[in-house]
Amino acid sequence: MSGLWTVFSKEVKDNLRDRRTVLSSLGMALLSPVLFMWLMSFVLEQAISDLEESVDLAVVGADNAPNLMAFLESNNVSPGEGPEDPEQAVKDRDHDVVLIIPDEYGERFESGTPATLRLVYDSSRAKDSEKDYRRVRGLIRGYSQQVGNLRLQVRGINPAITRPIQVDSTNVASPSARAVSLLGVIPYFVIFSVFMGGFYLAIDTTAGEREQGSLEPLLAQPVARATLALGKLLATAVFSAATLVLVLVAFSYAIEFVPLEQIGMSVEFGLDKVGTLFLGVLPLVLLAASFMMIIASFTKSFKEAQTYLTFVILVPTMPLLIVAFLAPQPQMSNMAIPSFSQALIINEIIKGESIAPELIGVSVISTLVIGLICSLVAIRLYQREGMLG
Amino acid sequence: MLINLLRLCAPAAVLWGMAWGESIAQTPEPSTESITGPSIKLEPCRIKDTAGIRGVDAECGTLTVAENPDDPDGRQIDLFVARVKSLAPTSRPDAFTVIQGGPGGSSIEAYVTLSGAFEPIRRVRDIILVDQRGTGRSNPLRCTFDSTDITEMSEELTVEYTQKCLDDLDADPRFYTTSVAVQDLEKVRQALGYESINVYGVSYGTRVALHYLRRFPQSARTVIIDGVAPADWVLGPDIALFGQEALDGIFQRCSDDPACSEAFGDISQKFAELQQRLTETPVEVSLQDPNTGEATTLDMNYQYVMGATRMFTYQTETASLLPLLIHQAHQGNYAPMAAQAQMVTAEIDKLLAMGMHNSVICAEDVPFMPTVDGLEDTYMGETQVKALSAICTVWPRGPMDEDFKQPVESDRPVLLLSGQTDPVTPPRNAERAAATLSNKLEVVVPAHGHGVAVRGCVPFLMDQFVEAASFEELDTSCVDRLVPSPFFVTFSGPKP
Amino acid sequence: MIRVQDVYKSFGEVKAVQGVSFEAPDGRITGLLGPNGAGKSTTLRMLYTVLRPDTGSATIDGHDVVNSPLQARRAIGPLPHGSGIYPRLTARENIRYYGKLNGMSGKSLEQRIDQLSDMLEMEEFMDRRTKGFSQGQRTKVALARAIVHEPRNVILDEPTNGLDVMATRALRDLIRKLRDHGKCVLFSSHVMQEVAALCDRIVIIARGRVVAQGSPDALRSQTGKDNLEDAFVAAIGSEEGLE
Repeated sequence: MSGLWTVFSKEVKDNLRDRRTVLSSLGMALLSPVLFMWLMSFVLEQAISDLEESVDLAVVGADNAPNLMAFLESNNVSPGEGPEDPEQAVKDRDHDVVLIIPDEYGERFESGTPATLRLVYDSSRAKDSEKDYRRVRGLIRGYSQQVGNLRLQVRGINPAITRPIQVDSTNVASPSARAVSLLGVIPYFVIFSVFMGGFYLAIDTTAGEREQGSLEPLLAQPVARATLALGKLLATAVFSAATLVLVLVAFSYAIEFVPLEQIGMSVEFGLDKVGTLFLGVLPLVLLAASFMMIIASFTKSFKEAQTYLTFVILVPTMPLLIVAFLAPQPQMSNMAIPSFSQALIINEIIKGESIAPELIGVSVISTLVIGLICSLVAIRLYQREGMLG
Repeated sequence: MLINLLRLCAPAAVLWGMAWGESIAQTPEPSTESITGPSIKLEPCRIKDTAGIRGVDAECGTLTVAENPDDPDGRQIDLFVARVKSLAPTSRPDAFTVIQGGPGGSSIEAYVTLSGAFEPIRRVRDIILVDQRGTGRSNPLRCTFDSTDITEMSEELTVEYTQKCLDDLDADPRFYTTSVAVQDLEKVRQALGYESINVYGVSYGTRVALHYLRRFPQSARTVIIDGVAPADWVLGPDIALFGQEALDGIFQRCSDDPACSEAFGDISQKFAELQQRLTETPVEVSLQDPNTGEATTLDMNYQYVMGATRMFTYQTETASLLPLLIHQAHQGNYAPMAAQAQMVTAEIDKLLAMGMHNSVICAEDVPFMPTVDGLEDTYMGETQVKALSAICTVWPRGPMDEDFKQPVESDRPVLLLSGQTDPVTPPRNAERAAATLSNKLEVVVPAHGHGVAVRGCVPFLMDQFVEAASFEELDTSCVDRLVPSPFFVTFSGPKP
Repeated sequence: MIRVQDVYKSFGEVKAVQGVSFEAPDGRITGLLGPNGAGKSTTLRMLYTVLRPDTGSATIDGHDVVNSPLQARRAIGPLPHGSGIYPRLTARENIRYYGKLNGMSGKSLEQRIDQLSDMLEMEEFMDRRTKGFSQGQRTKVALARAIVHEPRNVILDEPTNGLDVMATRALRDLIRKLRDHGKCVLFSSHVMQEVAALCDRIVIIARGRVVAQGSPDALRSQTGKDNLEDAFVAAIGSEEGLE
């Protein structure tokens, strides 16, 4: 066993000194949450219309509707001079939104027939143009509705009769559950980090060692090949696990900065959750390390290993994007699938929901079993003669 | 060696998976303070507004309390309690409550109607609601009357109806006053386990809020009173006096507005003429029922005009219709005005539990009404005062705390909201109440009337205030951009 | 002592070693000479147990490389092609790693490392990371690593490859020193001059077979050449692949 410790500690020390490995672990761990936050803030900004933000609205023909202008102003929309060519102006980004009030607006309004006005905007500019457009359109609709209701009322008709059917909806998803549709991308990042954490070690300890010429003398040492392989595998797994911890902690901090309550969602991602999540994903670490080691063993050089592994990692991680969008429920069938089941576990924990112990058991056992099988295969591969390349 | 590892791993994995699964399955409920006394069992429910149209998912339960606090073994009544949980997984330890006015309105229904205004607060705070005893679903003291008769009520008829209502009640109406009700609120706070509560009261609800503040200052973290009824103020003659001021304000605004004055001329004069005409000679009016469209007729007298006008002065949107309605009636087209009166009275007995209303005013207002000269010169005349007095000739007078009519003194943070054109609780009421509060801020919202919580940026101001429990960073200038609804100059609407 | 008996090794179609037998005694420097591709490296690899012979046997100090590989490994200090030291570890750490793999530890290991540092004149760069070391420095570290556990048999595969004149000289002195300490030294080379200068015994390998073996004198008389290098060429059959 001391041989195992010797190999393990050397691999850890050696790779801690490898800038590329450390950067990829740390980088993944820290970059993911930052990327995530950026993504989230973009999405949220679409959803939240900050009523306290004032909107500058270019208006053509403002004189045709002074009361409408007064209404808009009282709602923090400042009407300003409109351009000659509204469509061009919006295209040229001189304005985000232009309101055009035709000359016949007043006549039609006063005669009780629907009076049209036009809003010009650019939907490809979601952050400013589309957002302002929606705000202004919503306000004008509100004004129209108010006038419409009062028109009925003043004629002695109860405006409620225009709403024969009222739909009363109940959304059973808890605020945290709703958040999962938004946060569903987190499992993808987390599991990707698990793989990336051990990526360079998996390569270094097989193809890398071979390419460097240090494998041959190592194999000639009085240490069983299985011990060598296991020591390297464990070092890979440890780096992968360390990256996992880092990425979870980083996310737990990053989430604080995402104002989910603004859109009626909430999530609790404190340090105790981090612990639970870590344990939930931990079985995958062994599988990821051994899986990558197996693939790298077959490659001839560092570069080749890097190329193949990058490609092969897509297999366990791409399906997680399905999880992100469809948010499936954990069931006996899907909990037996490694990587997928860990993603589901992450989702359920973020939602704050409990998972049936049998389902967790299935995930843990199947992932560990497959991980152990892969580990045995990886060790076996190390014992081949072809190992030397 | 590896085989042995495998042998150990499998059972370890199973045990570990199970244990871990168990631990995350038992996500603990946020702990509630240990309370001495009863607690409330809450179950999922849906609470609705008065019309039964809008709904909000909540948890509901009941707290049984003695009807007469001095007789704990006497008749018990059930207080209907609701809670709307905050969006955050851990709510603040202080909840937020809404107290409706009337008196006689359901606070739960009021919350649903106003819920938009409190959404920012709800992000991090639980909303707890109690239908005040005698209202909503808390042993409501309702009186039923035929709404068409309301406008023809003489004092004798009023007394007759009130007595009938009393006789039909299965309750002792004395114990439904504000002094008793605030104790209920405190019991609910304790039973639900909140350290303290942030209280929002509107109209009569401001009286309840202020008295709660007086009685239980440690439990009131912040107070927001909207449309203020100061403790030393009586709901009586001021209804007519303030109401006249508000109406005059509307007429003045119409004269100042070129479109309105051009369309209607001296609308104040027209109103006076209309009042005189209809007081002398009621008119038979044919109109379509506002809801069913069926042809009906009614005998229209001035009471109809008075009732509709009074209600329409409460909000700027309805105030914008007044000159047109008055002008039309003045011209001889009475149907629009008559229909308004019908629409207004249709809702009243659903909106107010009249019995509780009577219990409150007969203990806290009518006995203290000052005699005021000049009521006859107001558009409402002495109608209100006479009606209220009539009711209280038969309605029993309930208990009132000794200091009840004293101005409330406090250093707790209090936000006083008033609408500039409020016809019943104008800004000077807030000034009066604010005089004895050392930690307060008065906000007057231009252009708007009674109850401003949903207007403009007020929801955000309330949220900021409740969160900070102070006025330091509060910038209330955002209310200044609010403007009144433009007057309807034709049936098609205001000028474009 | 290293004994190789009738060892065969093929890689698919390629018959790398076809019946190689020789002995490398203790206290002697035995050279394995042959052109590139003759099967020298393959033979050595079988000796340091990274490859297994298809048939035949090899023993190191009596330990069979197939049946007792761990004991065989303990008895050898291999220096394969290209040194293969770890660039991110210091020279000392490289040597220490191998020392530990060979069961050494603690103070005795550190003392041995210092001893090696002295012997191989490595003090100057002992605690530098080996990235960027010259060939000569690298070879020294690899050699120190190979003999840290004081193995009786030292096997070197083309050790002077890429070394400059000074370093080559130094290495040769070291090899001689090892021999003088009673070690069995076996090294392979395709440089005739080197083999001629150093070896007590020479095994000539070509096309996977031993074509001649013996002391330099024996080889000269076997081939009937005055010059050892001529004797080599004669034994192999051509000059191709030899320097």
